[in-house]
Amino acid sequence: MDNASAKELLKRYKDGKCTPEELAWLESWYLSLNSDAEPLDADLLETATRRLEERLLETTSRKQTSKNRSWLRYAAAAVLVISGGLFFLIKEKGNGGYEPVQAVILPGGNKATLARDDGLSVELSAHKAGIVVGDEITYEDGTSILAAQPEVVNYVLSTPNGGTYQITLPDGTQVWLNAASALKYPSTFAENERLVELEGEAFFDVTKKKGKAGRLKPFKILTKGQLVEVLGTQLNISAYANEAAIKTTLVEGEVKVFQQNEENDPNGFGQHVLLRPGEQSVIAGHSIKKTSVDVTPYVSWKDGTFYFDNADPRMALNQISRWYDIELVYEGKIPSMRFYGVMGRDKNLDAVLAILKESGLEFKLRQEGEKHILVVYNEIK
Amino acid sequence: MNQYRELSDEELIQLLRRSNHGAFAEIYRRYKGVLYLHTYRKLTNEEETDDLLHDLFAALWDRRTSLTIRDSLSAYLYRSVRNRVLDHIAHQKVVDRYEHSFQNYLTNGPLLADHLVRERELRRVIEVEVANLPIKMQQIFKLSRFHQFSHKEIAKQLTVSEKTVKNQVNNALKILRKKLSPLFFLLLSFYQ
Repeated sequence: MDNASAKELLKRYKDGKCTPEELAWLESWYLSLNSDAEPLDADLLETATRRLEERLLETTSRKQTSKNRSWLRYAAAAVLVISGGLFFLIKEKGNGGYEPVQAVILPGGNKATLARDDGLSVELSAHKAGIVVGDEITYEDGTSILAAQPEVVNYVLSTPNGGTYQITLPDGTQVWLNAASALKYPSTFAENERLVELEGEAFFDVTKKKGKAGRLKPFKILTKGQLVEVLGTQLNISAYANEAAIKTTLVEGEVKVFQQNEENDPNGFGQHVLLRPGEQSVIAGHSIKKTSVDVTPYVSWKDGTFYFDNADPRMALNQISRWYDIELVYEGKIPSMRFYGVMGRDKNLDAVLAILKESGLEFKLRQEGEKHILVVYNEIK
Repeated sequence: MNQYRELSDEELIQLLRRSNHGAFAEIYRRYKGVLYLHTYRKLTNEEETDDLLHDLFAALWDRRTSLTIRDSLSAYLYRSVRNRVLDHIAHQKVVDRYEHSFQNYLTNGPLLADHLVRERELRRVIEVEVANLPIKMQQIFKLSRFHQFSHKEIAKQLTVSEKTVKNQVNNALKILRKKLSPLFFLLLSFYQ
């Protein structure tokens, strides 16, 4: 190309006036530019990318997200995002640093027990993350746990405080069980429906299955006081006995949530609501209500994160108590401040407590023998 | 328990669209090395490189909810970095630095008329920088390529829809890893 000079061409590019051929010349040259120069020194690269990381964290957390999805409000808190081995801590206000508590309290991990209705019980490996129910029951990597049974039997997968485990059911549905929870399921599903029972909290990724006559086979999740019916869906159910409400949050798909009529009527389900993605049903007392929510705070545990966005302190503290297996004691009234913070569930307790401290929580960690107790004080007026 | 490491680029994009910070951090972690080296090579200036990449990733975050990537995350990022570098080069203050080189090229250099050829070449030119990364960053990048590859490859082999595959991918990947060379397994243990 001899007509245009480099100078002119670059100017045309800046003004957005290049022809396709001119652009082709520019991009072709770009590829060979400095191609035989020495690369940036590896150490300088490390420092540079780290520097950039910090800067990015500041930028991406300062911006407000859209109205409905306010990720983190600025009034409070430290935000902790852990990635790889790096620790990014941004503080909006408040003092720098946090004082670590005395005992090192480790986070939860893969802990669960699998029990069969004939009494057999197996403690699952802490080095594996999930089991798969096929003809036999194996870990995710194929290692055998239990052999196939001739008749249909029921199993219960349960997690203690500080435990979490994953299970793939015979139909391919994946369930992530949170701490202090239990899932009861059959070795083979019935012909016209797939039924499981849940206590505590789990995230379900339900596969679509066809049953008799080619119709879609519903997947039903029973918890005390609620029945959820889904066709093929991603949802989170939180049904802890020690919490006032059962919350079902829908990520994808469609579900029907039925409220149980009476305590003693296991088959009586009356009132129901239909959930669309981004909606949540709350069953508390004798009512069932539906609201629109940002699903993130309710499902992020499954991705290994605590996510507190204007979180109710009791909810947040309950999550923490179950995961770190510590007891909660409230001195006086329950504090009224809201929590903001995001962090990995793989961090020790002191890191999480630092976030709560930033939100204004007053507390003390005590140890009584083997037990760890978090004493929470009401705000000092 | 950083499960983001095991996700494919596509899965990270889906999470990013839902404002997931972990996914954003993982995207940065995977691509920071090659993008920085490549940009520095073109600009030969750390400060300018810092600013360019900061703006690139900040914009990625800003546009996260409306993000439409027609091909792949890597192609998107590579195109993005090239366009930003060219914009920067065309800027008055620095254009003198490059004119001579470009003029030379206009006289001698090959014209790659096909934009797909240019894009392929761009990918090659950027990814060849992996060899210049510190070992840890190299492994991060290579491992992420494995995850990309695995999801698509498994889908092809099983000839089922990708969605069904994703449900089984974790199982399959774990088995695959055991079958791979000890070196790869060593690579993997770096992250456990």
